[in-house]
Amino acid sequence: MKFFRTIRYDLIRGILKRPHFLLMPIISVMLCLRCSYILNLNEVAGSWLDYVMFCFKGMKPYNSITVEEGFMVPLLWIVLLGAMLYTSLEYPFKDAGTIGQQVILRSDKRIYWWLSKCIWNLLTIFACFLLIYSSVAAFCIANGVPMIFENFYEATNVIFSEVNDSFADSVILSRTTTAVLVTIIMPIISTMAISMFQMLLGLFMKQIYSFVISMAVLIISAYSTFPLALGNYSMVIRNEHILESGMKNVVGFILSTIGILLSIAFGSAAFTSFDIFQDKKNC
Amino acid sequence: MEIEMENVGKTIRGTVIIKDISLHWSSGNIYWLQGYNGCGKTMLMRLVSGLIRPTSGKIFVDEKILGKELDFPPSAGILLENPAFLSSYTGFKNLSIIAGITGNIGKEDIKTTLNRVGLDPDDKRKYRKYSLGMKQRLGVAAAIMEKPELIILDEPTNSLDESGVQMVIKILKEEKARGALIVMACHEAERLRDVSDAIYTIEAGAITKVITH
Repeated sequence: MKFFRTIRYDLIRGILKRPHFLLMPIISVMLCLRCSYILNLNEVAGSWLDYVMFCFKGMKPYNSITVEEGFMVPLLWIVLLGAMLYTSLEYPFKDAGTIGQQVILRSDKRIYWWLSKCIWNLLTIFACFLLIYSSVAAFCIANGVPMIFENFYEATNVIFSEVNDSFADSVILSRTTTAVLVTIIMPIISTMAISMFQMLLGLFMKQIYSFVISMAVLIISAYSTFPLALGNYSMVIRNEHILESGMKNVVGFILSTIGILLSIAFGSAAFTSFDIFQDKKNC
Repeated sequence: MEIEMENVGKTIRGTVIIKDISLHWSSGNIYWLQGYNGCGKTMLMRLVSGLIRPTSGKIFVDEKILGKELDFPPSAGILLENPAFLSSYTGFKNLSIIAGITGNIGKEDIKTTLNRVGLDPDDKRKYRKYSLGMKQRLGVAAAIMEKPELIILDEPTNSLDESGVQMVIKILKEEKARGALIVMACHEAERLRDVSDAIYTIEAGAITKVITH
């Protein structure tokens, strides 16, 4: 029972009572405005799914960028994922350094605290994505964009214009399961894996450094399609259903799941012998 | 409850904080740790609470090894360093949140405890509006509200006025009579000398003198 009470405590304190989540609708709406501008410029209409795909578009693989295109940075994608990683950054350690000490003491087992924080972390990322999808939906409803779970060919052509000549055969995500995989499952699970890794690192260093490292993972993912660069799997433009020879979903799913489980396992082992101080720097 | 330390040491980043401490504590007693700032009193209390692990030696709580068979003493209340609560909640709400983890006490118990420490349970002020003395009282309340077997109080009279000091002394006597094992570090030497059952003098992380009453 204490474990479930600890989880409840973390969900209330760590999700319901934190204003960081406001970043998601703000950034989402800005992205939607940008998408709308691009689509209007090309006089095409998109669907809700097109707008979601734009939010998580990312950047085409760096090795396919030409000299004429110049140096590119997937800034919008980095800002969106960076906001999610920032949201899941400091709560566990800030909490442990304050009232959380009283909670840890009463939870009987150190592993309860860690597992509760793991559940909190995963649900935080999930909540971020829900907020993004909902914000896009609200934007679409307000602007008369069809709320359907399929993309329009003309809009997809415009949004992913830089890879038109390398489109996968299945680029129009006509099957709902494929659309869910590309736009929901893969971005969520790969971001969860990076967030869990960030939290694990937070046990050993200041949270700002763990955030810098997780951002470095995103930047490395932008410029390398190495399978372990998990950020690749949250870029819709690199998905195998969008890009010919894109990132394999099965590989991304397995690696992300392994990453999440390893973070949980290593964190459990580390926190068992961790010194808990009332000082965020030491915690 | 019985607490036993066998050759307990703690080293952090090469610095020896606690040096080869052995002792035995039992319920119904007040143990007072005294020593200069930085001598290791708080670290010793952290070791007993399970929040930090010893580098060497063993700590037994009712014959179970802390850190191996137990993560924390099964029934403990602590006030370590500065009280830390949620600034946007009232004192009552803060205690409710903490008490909600064990589910052992109800609202009336929390209100009774707040009255014991001289705080108004119906006070609508948020914690961030509390004076230092009020914050300290709330810290004491958190440590005693669930009637734990082990109570650890680090400088409980900090920032308290005369009535606050009297309150702490009264609570110490009541909790001792209840059978709690109380470990305390405090600078109120004259007042608390008579209340304590044993006084441990700590210097440079080691116990240099023990006076029992």
